Amino acid sequence: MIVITSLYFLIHKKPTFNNLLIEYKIMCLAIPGKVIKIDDDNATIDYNGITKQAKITIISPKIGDYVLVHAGFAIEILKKDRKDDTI
Amino acid sequence: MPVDTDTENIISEIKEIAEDINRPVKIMEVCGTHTQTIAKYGIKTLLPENIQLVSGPGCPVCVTPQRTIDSAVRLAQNGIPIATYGDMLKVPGTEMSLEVAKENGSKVFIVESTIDALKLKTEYPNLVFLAIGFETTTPMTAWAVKNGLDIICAHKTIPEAMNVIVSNQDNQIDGFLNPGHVSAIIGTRPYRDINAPQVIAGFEPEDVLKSILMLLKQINTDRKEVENNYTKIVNDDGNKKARALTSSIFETCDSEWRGIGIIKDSGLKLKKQYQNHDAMEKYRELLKDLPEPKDNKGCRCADVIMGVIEPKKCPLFSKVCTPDNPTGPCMVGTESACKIAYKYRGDDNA
Ligand code: SF4
Repeated sequence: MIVITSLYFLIHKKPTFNNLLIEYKIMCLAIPGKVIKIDDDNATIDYNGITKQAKITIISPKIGDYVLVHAGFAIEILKKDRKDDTI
Repeated sequence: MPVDTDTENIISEIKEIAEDINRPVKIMEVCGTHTQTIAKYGIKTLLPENIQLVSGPGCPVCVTPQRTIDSAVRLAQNGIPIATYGDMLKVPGTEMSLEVAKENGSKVFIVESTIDALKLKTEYPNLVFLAIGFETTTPMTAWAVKNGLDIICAHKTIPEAMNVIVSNQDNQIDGFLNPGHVSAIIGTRPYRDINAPQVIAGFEPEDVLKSILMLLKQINTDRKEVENNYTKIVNDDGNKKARALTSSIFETCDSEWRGIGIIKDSGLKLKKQYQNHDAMEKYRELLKDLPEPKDNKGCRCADVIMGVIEPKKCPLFSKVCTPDNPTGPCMVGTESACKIAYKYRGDDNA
């Protein structure tokens, strides 16, 4: 049982980015991306090559920071520079 | 390729401690996103028999009362465009869901964010946003109200609901996996008055397993602490800027949770100076004589979100109630326990 599940972990561990984008439509999910441009309280976030806008009204990231984005807003800066770390 | 030995170690440590505890232990994952991780990665199958995981009230779609949905439906039927997050559309109201209202010709829009709702408002000036969600989602509504959006406010707060669950005699929860993204906003302090072992958890399967282990260690040593196992996102203070934004627009009020009833101080309402954005006030006349909410016959959602039963114990589960034809709200949202259990029903995991 453990081996089977461990294999499952290995196969399914990291959701593909497309899946993430689909799930992005779901309100409570938060996904990590890299801040590549800041323009007032708007940031351009790079999610592995796909860019999207997010508001940075409630955090103050720098360019290059990884942030967690929820419902169009960056809600927190990831402490480690590990973009694929968490959703 | 090496099999994840860290995970194997965590699992065997869980087994040892569970044996040591030597009694049934019930752990509640408060947040629906944890419910998803648990089902998707088959975490229940990894746990010893005496460790049970149950879902909690952290599914905004499930706990939004029928009256709120009925109000949105009524406005939509009277020509007032409604925007809301996608999961809300299928939730059964007393007479119909927003989806049915839309099929019947009312203007109902799905938005991904309040930013999109504000954009829609330029086209539909009388648009109303049905605002649901917990502490993570509230600041986005606050920002939009500041920028002129009218709302039906159904925002709720998590710690107060957890307190009610702790004091409920029927479920006897031994410990909580606390929600990660809610905690990113509120920090660790609001949980300290809750009289139960708690671990703030991230959403990877390893995070969940490690957090279960930390909970079992607390239970085994009779500790009731709030531990943070999501430090890359959550700190003790939370996000002060987000909370300041929320409290500049909203104030605390008692709030009705579908299936649970009124929970003191567990909701938010617009402050006086923003009440002109409260659609419930603005359209008070239209909202008179709403249908009397009636229970969905046989639906045990209330017991599901209170951790009393697992979805499969509901007699309607997958027989009458399915995601395409949901009897209750727990079969609707992406984070809803019955829907997740349905999706993974073949795996015997959910
Ligand atoms: S399976 Fe359907 S009817 Fe049963 S509790 Fe869940 S939502 Fe309600």
